Amino acid sequence: MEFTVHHTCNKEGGEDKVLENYPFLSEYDPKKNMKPFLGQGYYFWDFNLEYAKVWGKNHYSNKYYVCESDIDVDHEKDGFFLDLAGNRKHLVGFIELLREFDFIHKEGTEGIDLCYIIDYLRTKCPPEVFPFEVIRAVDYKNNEKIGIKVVFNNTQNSYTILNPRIIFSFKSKENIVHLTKPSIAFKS
Amino acid sequence: MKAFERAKLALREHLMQNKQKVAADLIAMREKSKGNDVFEYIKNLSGSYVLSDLTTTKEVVYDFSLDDDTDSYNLINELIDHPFYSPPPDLIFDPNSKKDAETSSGSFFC
Repeated sequence: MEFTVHHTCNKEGGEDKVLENYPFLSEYDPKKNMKPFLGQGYYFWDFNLEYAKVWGKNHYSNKYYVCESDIDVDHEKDGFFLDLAGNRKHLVGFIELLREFDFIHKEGTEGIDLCYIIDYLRTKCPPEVFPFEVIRAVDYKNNEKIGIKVVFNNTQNSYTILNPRIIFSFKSKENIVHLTKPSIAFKS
Repeated sequence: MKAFERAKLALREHLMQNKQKVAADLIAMREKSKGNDVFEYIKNLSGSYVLSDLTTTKEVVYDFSLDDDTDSYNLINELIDHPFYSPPPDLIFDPNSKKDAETSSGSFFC
């Protein structure tokens, strides 16, 4: 499955150095209160240059590059790609997996941030518990007013969002298959 | 998707074998998820406690004197002039008086 992705990073080192080392690892940084959304990993925006710029402005003091490349994610290999953005079967499977924690305590994983849950499944449990190398999820913001919401018709209050922010997280760099040479799509 | 079935079985087995440890880990993660990162905070605090990091507040001198509009009276002087709590005259200590005779306990019931 092919995707065009964007990755925001610091300008440090210049274009050549950045493209050579692209993408960069997102890690926990307690001093800056940085907690990668889906745990430690290599992050991309799913075709979202505009939001990649917003991220750069807010997180890199407006000194950033947005890199772009086409990648291929193996969606047929069982247990490799967890698509929480576009696959209901994956969502249901993931929720059922988390419900296993209810055997320990009735609260289960309630109240625990997703980043900690994913890291826990990856690092504290046997490898077969969470084999997924790639995770895709929608990034919603609480109480967000901006966005393109379109109602389906005038009979109900149902709507869809035409510009969801979708993120990819790769556990390791080796699993990122670039179909095109990465390039700088934007520099601040 | 077979991976989820395998994952559930593996997780269940892991949870059953490590029930107490996992329960403690869940509590710790829940605490961290409150946004305070208590554990990291304490860990970092122990290594960053230098005097230059401390903030101090300026000493503020408060004036507790009463203004003219406040009703007040000089309690100490009043106590000297009018000893409210002085003992009855018959109980005022007289160094020259002799000690009372011993009274037997039985006389109280007469």
